[in-house]
Amino acid sequence: MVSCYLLVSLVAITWLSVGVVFAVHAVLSSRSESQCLTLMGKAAAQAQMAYLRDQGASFEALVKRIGDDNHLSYCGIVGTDGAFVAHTDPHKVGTKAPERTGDQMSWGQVEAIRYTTDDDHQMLELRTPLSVQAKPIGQLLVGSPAPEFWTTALAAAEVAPPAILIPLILVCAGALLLRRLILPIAQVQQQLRHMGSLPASMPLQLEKLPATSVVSIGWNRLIDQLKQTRQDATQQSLTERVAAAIEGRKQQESLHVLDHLSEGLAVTDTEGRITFANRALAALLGESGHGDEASGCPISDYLREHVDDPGSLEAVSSASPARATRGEVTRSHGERRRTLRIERQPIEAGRSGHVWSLRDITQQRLAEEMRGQFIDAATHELRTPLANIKAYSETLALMDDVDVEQQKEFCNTINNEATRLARFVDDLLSVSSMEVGSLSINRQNVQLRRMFDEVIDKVRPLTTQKSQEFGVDLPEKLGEAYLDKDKIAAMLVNLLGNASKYTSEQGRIGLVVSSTDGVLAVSVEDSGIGIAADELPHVFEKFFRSKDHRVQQETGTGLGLSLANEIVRLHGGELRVKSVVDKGSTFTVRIPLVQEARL
Amino acid sequence: MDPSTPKILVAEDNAALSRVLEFTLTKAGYSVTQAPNGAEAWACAQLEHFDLLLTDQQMPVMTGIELCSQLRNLEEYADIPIMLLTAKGLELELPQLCEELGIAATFAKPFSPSQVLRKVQELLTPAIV
Repeated sequence: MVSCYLLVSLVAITWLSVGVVFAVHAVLSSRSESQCLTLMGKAAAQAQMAYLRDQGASFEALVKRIGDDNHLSYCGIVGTDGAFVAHTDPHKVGTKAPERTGDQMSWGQVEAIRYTTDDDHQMLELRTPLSVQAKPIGQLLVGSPAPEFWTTALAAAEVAPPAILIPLILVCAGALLLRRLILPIAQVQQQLRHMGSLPASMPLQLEKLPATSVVSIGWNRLIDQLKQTRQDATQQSLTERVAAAIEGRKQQESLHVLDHLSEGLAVTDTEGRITFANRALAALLGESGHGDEASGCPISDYLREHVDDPGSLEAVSSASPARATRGEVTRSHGERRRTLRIERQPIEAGRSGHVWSLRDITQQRLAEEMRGQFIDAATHELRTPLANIKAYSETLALMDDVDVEQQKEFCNTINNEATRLARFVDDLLSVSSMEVGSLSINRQNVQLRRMFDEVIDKVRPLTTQKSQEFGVDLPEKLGEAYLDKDKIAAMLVNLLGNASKYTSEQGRIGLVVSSTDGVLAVSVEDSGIGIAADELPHVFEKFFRSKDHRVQQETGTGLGLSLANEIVRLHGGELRVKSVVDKGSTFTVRIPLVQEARL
Repeated sequence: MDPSTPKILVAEDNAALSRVLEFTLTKAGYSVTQAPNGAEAWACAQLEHFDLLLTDQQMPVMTGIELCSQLRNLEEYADIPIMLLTAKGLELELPQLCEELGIAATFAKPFSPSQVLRKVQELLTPAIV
């Protein structure tokens, strides 16, 4: 840009200079011609006056004066014969006036001819006829150096340096100024051009300019504004994105929560088609999927496919859409049979579909069943001793002729039954304490030998009654132990009683006791009916009773083992069971022997 | 023992209760046979004829109701008096079952042996006469 400006300026200056030179030359030329014409008129008059005065005697002096006064190259007068009568160069007098060749001009009588001398100078020769009283007397001839271009150029060259230099300096100054003015614009332009060449998706890279001009300041402000806007936009979009992310996360969390509910959940539209189903729903219905598979499928069809008794579903799904309904269905999976409770809850009175929930209530049902069994068993356990006590006491009271032996027998029975009743009430109380976690043990120093003897004495009648072999293996020395005698004894009687109860007549019961390394180990073995492998993990559960009909035939509350386990646990020990169906069971108690804390 | 003495079969799993019933009934002049469960009672009933059955409902191996329904299928026991002892109280279906099986009386435990005896005497009176 600046270079263009400089180039144009230089050309202009040069052109101007040349023009000036030409103009000056032209002015000079025309001036010398007009001067010559004036001079010719004046000199012709003087020559004619001189001729009148002295017939041309003073021509010599005249031409000399004219030549000197007007800085002429030469001046002469040619006579009528064509020879010089007078000349500034005296040698030319008498010689013929030479004929000149060149550009010819004429202004009235004056003729002019421009010619080139032998030594290459431009000369202007002017001729005018002289006449006195209409009689020609000759010709006045004047030679003047013609203003030459070179001369003019040389003369101009003398003043050229200041004349050219000053505009040049001005032009340069202008260029600098221009440069300063257009530099920011050029930079802006360069950046704009760069932007233009970038693909539309690329972010714009704007650079600030040094604040040297209003343009750059303006540009910088533009960039600032743009950055601010972009930052605002970024911040806004960031906030929006964060909000969206949080929202998405919340939604995902909700789905996550719904998916991890143990309760099966499905949402249906007004047409009864599933719009959402969680993982648990699929799992409860025995599907391995995620729950999505059911989407779009009518829920009644979906459920009907998976349950044993589709009829039970009708009551739930055919009820008025505005009503909440519930029902129970069963589903068999291999050997296992599960009870599922289905509930249908309307959304906005059924106008927006329904929420269906599915819960596995098998355990609940089982617990209810166990509790029912317990109530039955407990009633039996309470009624039987009561019945005996009542029957015997009434018999004793009413019969007159009962002999002493029989009276004694009856009183013993009453006593035994009362003890049995008391024990059962104790058990019930213990279980209720166990339930609230307040079952405690009351340790005291116990002679182990004596305790085991008491236990054996209590069990012996049972085994004798069933003609069972009761093998006891007690070490010679057992010593003392610091434990809750009543509870441990009750626990052992319970274990041995079970062993006898669930072993057929002529069976074998064994009690093996050892005390080594500070651990009291008691093993109760029997050759009884055993416990099935799938029931083994449950034997210590409250109210649990085996499904085995041989167990069902016997009365029992399902409390004994859970209580025994709790008592052993409270003593810091453990109760284990090993069993094979039809071969027998072995319950092993291991209790760490602790010393009485010395106060 | 007099062959005309009415014979009573007592099916009761609780030995003590069985014993006191046996004592009371024997004292009243009846011939009593004890069985600890329904199955044994069934076996006894097939060996000899009894004039009255006194059975507990809740028993191992075979319940009282099962025993009754089996006995009723036998011609000789089709119309003997049967008395039922129950520890559970009267279940809902029990009166109906008693009707069907022709059970003469039910006693809920704890019961009074003298009342049982009175009922037995009442039921067996024609036989004595």
